[in-house]
Amino acid sequence: MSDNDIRKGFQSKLSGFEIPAPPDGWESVERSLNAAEAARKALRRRWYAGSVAAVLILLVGSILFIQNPMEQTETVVSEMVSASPSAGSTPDHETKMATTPESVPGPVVRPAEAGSLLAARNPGKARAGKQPVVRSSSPAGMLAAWMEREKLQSEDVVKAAKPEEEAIDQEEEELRQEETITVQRNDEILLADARDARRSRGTLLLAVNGRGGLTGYQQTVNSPMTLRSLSALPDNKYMPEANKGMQVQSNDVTNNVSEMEHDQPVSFGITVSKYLLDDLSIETGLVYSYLHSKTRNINNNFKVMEEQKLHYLGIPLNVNYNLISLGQLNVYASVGGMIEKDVSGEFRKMKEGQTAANFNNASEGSEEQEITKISQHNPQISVNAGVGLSYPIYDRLRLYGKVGGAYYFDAKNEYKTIYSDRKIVMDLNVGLRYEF
Amino acid sequence: MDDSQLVIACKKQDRDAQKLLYERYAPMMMAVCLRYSGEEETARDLLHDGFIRVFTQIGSFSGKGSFEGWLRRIFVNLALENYRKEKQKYRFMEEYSYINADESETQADNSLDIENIPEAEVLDMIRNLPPGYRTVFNMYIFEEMSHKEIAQVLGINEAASRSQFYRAKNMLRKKISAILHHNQRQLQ
Repeated sequence: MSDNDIRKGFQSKLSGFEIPAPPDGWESVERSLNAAEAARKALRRRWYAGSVAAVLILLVGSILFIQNPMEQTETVVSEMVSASPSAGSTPDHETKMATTPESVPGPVVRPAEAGSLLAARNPGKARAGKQPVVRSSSPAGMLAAWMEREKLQSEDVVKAAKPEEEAIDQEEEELRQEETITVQRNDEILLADARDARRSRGTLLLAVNGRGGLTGYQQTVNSPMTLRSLSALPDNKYMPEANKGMQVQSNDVTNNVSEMEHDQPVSFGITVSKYLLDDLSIETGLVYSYLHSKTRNINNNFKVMEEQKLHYLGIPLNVNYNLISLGQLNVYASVGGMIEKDVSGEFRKMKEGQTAANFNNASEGSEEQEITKISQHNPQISVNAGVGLSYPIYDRLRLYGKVGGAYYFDAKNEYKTIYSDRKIVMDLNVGLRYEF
Repeated sequence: MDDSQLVIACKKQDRDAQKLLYERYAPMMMAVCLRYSGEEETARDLLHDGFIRVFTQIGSFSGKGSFEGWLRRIFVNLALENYRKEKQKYRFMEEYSYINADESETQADNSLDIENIPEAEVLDMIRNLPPGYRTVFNMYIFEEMSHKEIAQVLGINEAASRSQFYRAKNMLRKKISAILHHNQRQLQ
């Protein structure tokens, strides 16, 4: 009997032969089809949400970077020059200068303005009697414009996003009630899988993290500067003596250089998260932050330096949402806010050289150091957003990193910090998270 | 509703049409799954996964060839994928079966006539072959694949495919012979 005969015999015997299918066969297939359809929709939505989040972050990041570069160095021309050079030393003029609003204007130097800058630095060509000019390109101006735009845009986005979010929530709910399936893209195999890789609601996460600001702040002007914010003192009675001296001298010599620098904030914290839904968790904890700032006012006859250290404790409240999972790598978005209050602070002032009183006697120098404990009156409130990645490194321990930014509301505090001067601080958050 | 109308409706993910298609072809495909898998539980899983694949890939069916042929290829491919996954598990069983096959070879006669054997018994004979023999036998006899093609698909050499088919035939001969003798005794 040849192989062909065997083939014909078996084919004719079994072609069309039927065995009854399992009685619940169709129901099982239908369930899997529904789950597959829901999973595909959810996956598509997640990709859309992830893409939109990534585009928004890139967009906001780009805008911030363009409008507010990392190290912002500004040079300000104090165009406030007295009509008569000798008037600077008279008591009347000194009083007048003391009542002048805080002289920390911040126009950015642009090539077209370079000429006027040089002209202003030259006493002979300086225009007399003019008040400091705050141009539209100042940080405050840019920030105000940006905030205005963001406010309008965010209102629109919130309105548009509401129905979308509701639809996603509904789908997620449907998904949880169905068995999960595995989708193999190449072969498009859909296999029913009873394993549940999702986290259950109520899962607790404990995390320790460190956060470093990606942005510092540096400002260089030729008007005297101090770390104490005069806007916090409406009557403007306070004017550091050294600054008065600097102010007076700057009118005479116009060779003053003032620098203010806020270092990137550094934070450490411990947080706990709880999963409210499969992909949505709420996070809170305790975060310590260290802020360091300094100023330096220098001219030919005088040098005043200030250094400020503030230690904050904050309570964050964030909502984290898993956007997509690529293998074991989770990509998540986070939004939230934090309230912070300083727990300790130190303000140190060093003065070298002549004071205003002995300005006319250049040979007499002096050195003083003043250290005071300081505290801010009001708590600092901020809102933040970011995108992060997390990856398991051992058992339930995951390493995570998040890039984001925070907006700090004006707390109207006495001492300037990066929060008050920069408002928007980009940061990198890295930590370890343990799932219970 | 004929097959072409069913296919059009299934392409639109019409649940009623999908159910109708399932009811029409599930028994036939169950037989195919059993013939490849041997075990009923595995056959049920293959049937389930095969129909999911049919309904998700039905858009790729052009309608030019036989729908039944297209459907059967999906189930056969799935069964072969399953065999490749389980190959390691089968290795020990194959080795054990080789010994039995060698021992039985001399005792078998040359007849492989199944005309007088009921379909269910023929199917059972195939199902009870060792997994490797069964797979090669199914591919060679029912899918009409050459040993070269079988070797490529299963990742074995051509000689191994021939050898397994030869041993499968011998085992079947023995079983057929036993069934025929049994039937003759009953008639006497």
